[in-house]
Amino acid sequence: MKTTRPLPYDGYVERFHELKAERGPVASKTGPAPELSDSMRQVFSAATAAWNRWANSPKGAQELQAMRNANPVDARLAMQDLVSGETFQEVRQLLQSLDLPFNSFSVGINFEVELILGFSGTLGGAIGIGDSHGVSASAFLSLGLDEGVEAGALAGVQFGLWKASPEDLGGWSLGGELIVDDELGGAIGASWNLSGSELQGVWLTLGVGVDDGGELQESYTFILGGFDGFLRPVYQPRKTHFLILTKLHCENPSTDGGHNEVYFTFQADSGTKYYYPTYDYFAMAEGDTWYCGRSVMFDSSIAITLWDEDTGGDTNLGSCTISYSQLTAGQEVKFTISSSHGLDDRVYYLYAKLIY
Amino acid sequence: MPQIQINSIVCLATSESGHDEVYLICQADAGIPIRVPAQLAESHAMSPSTSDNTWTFDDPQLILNYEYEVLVTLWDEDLSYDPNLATYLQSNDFQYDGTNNESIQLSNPNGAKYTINFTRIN
Repeated sequence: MKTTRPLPYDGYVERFHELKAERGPVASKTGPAPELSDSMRQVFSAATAAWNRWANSPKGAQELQAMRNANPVDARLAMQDLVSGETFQEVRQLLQSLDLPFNSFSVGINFEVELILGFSGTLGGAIGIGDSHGVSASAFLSLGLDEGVEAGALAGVQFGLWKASPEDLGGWSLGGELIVDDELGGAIGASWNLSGSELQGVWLTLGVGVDDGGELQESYTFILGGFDGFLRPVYQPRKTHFLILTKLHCENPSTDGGHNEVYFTFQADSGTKYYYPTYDYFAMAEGDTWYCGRSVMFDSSIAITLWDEDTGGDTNLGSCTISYSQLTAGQEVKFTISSSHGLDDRVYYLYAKLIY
Repeated sequence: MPQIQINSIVCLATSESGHDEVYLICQADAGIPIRVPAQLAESHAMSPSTSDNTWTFDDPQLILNYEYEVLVTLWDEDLSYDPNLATYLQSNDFQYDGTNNESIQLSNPNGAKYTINFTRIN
């Protein structure tokens, strides 16, 4: 069936093919396998422990399953949050204490690229370490042709130590699994540049079906940034406070057939703009209450704008700002959203309950 | 950690003539959203007729873990792969309140009317 818009990962696969047609020759063998130092073993061991604690928890298992099926927008936000957040805090502290010849640490999940045959993908988040510590973070998508990749590896997780800083992880690489490491419980692999002369990084893959001495695989890493065209974000990175926009009451809609096709945007701390409903709208007439139940993560304040969807251009129904200082945990607070246009006075009430 | 099990969804009225092609987006604590069915462009055809008015989640079960709340949104998929063209049916924000088995009826001025049957596990 022909669609009007591309599949979530279509653009990346298309670009992979374009880049492959443009690139030069690929080596058939690489430089010597890197030695795994005690420090590197420490990092991989700590990362494995952190990952298992998270992935084996009920919420973590739920989130991991959701990530495997998420679109690039939410997957990017979630992976960046995962590697930068509480789950890997001890790993980051360990990395700060070690002297490693690398500038990035990454956590990536292997998954099947939706409906695209012949490709494996690793979706990951990377943070700066060593000289790049605290400087940058990135999310990436690595695509590779799946010849030689064990089917079970598609279920695995990969931890990586990279020479490049997070924002420079993009580009071609030639990689392969070198050896199964029983102590670490996975396969150690490495990536080189396409001429095989320069080591780019060393990684550990956990998961069923990892093999010893797999074939070299070429892959291209895209740094994910911004938002992919038509997809709107849903995942919200963890912040200090959490509230629920419990309900929206229509006191007086605009004179637009007696009802408004309502949606609102919300932006915590001048950050990413979210929509609710994420797409489409909810029709409201005078006296209607919409139990929207939209939770929001924020540090200090949230800017909310209410909209009426119209064919010729959406109408701004008004805005409000919710500040943490206005809220008390467990109590619902009412905020007025109003606007005027000529004799048309629109009034809505938005209720918010602070959770923490 | 609280859990909620979505047992079934019942269609009392659709948002459009014929069927609604229903899928869910479940989001716990503003985290990573879970699509049900998981695969992009998959949905469950529903209408008020007795043959397809109930979507039961028994294999696999739909159990959602959350800390404070889980927002379950029902969508009607209008064009495969493009969420921009999906129709919002309704949503409910489940928070722990100590009660057990429940059902909630949701309606939308576009005509859609659905009941969510659920059980609080913890």
